[in-house]
Amino acid sequence: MQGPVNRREFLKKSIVGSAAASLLSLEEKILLAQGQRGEKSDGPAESGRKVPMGKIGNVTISRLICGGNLISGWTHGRDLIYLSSLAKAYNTDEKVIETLEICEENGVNTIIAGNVGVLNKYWKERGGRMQWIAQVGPKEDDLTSNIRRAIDSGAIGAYIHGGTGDKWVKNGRVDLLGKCVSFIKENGVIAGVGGHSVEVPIACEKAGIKVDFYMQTVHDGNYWSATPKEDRVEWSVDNFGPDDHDNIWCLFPERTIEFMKKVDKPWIGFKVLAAGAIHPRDGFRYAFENGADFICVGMYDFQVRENVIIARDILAGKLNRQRSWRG
Amino acid sequence: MNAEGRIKKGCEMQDSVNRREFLKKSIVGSAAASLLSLEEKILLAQGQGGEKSDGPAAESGRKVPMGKIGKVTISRLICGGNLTNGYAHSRDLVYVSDLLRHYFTDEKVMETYEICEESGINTVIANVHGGKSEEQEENTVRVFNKYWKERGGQIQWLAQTNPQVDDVTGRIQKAIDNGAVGAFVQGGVADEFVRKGRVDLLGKAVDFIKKNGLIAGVGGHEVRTTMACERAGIEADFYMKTLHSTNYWSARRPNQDKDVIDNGSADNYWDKEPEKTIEFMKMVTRPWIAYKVLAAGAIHPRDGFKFAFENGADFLCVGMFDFQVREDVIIAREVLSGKLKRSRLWLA
Repeated sequence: MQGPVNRREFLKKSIVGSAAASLLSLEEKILLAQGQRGEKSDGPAESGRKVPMGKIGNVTISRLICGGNLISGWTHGRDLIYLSSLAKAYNTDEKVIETLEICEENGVNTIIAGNVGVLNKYWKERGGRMQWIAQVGPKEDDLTSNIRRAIDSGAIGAYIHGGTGDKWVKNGRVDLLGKCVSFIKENGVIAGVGGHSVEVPIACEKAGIKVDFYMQTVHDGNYWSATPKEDRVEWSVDNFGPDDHDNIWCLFPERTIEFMKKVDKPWIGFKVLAAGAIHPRDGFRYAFENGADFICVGMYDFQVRENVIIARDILAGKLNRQRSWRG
Repeated sequence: MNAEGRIKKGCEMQDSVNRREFLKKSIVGSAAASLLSLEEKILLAQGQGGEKSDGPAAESGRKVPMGKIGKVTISRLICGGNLTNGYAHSRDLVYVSDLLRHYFTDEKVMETYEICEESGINTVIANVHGGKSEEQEENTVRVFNKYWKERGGQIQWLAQTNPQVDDVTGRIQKAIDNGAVGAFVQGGVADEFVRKGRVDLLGKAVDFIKKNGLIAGVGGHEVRTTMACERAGIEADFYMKTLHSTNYWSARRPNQDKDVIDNGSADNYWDKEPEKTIEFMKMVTRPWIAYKVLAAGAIHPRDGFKFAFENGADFLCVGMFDFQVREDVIIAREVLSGKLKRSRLWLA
């Protein structure tokens, strides 16, 4: 799937009709200018041509994965009450399909999403080949129906939604996560557990759950709308309680990073941009340097190319990373 | 059609769509249903059941009430132009302005204007300079011209302009030449002029606008801007002054003391001291168009509109997506037709 598009052509394409130009680094601007003058680059930047891939189980997955929240209208826009409506109005089926096409053209081969609706259309009507890892929300009294539906609909993997992972671990029901993981694996697809709190992978590891991967949030707290450190309350992410302002998803990144160093299973980092408050150049680097093997990033059509360029650059460059690659 | 023709047409534009039909239309294909009040839901249900409402509250709310600035009749709810020009003021969310620019194609802007007109909004406030980049410069003028000429649109344009110290009139002239019914100095520019002790430039801009037969205003985020104009005896036809409550999560924090025009990095408040604005505007006898009444999307229209009208605004300028217009109109109608606890006289 990875096309021979070189990096300069790629940059040119990404700038046309987009307001992204001002966000490019000096290096990216130089490459773009070279491209416009028809010059050829023989430098080491060529190593960044493709989105690097990793493996979870037998599945080959691009290290940059397209997230599905924006498609479903989950913008996590703090107190901006119109943002989710806008996301839904913008991301028509046609626009989503266009986004998926741009992803594939640019080497992003996997989407993580809760719903298969548009994907089906994309696969059947457009011949799309994007892989789907399903986010599932099993219920305590029905652990398997949602999972079964996802697998029957063509998912190549499934994982338990972070909110559910948090809730069950908080309530001492890590056994339910184990049952879900077993069921997913019995059906021949890769199985994961999501969480916003590091207590989730801690509990899973302690219980010996044989996940294929963890979906675990990772972002720093250095952005304006983050909750100040002293006010952060464990389990408050996405719980709709008084401490949840839809503004932070990794309350204690240092703890997450420290613990994940010891975990030998692949880690898909999510909310790496804190739902839009961190520039990809910073958020991607932070996640990869601090141990993520893959990153899941919600993207609008006009962001895909730039995000791919940035991910390639970071992965092709020098990474200050201690954790071994696990996928 | 020239500006005068549009003004006249604007007065005639208030449609006769009844409120239940209106609610039905607003709900179709929209995510607004859950935001409706109980009363609105009952009205909607009545509409679906074919029942007729004779209640005074329902009937009185049929049209967007109008006011007058100079000779220009203006709907009390005005469509703002920031969203269509890609200014989201979305705090630290770095992608939202980009998203707006992709969402608001010319077609989408015109669709939004059409819904505004159908719903009784007869005026748009938009900057003559249509965006940050050179390619966006002509956005406002291009779309208005297209909308008026190709679609027969009648919506009025009240132009926001950014005069410069060494060229006070250039952009105003552009607005005049392109059919604006009025013009005003953008709030950030006015704040900056006043801060630099150059209130005289605001006077020059207002004079120039008025000499050209348009209604003239001065914007401002700081109440001292409006105060300076009053003190200097500038004969503005209206003020554009921000007004919103501080009752939202991302509101100004105790450690945030910057003037609004210096707060671009956080971009989270536009009226630093609403109580001072409200107190001062009580003494001002010129019409007041309040803007940023929803704090750029953090306050629900039901609360923001009421707060602004109760505290003295004569008109509201509200940025709206196509899918928000009908609901905003319903809410504005309801607020204006209901009991308002307002001590400032209506000045338009």
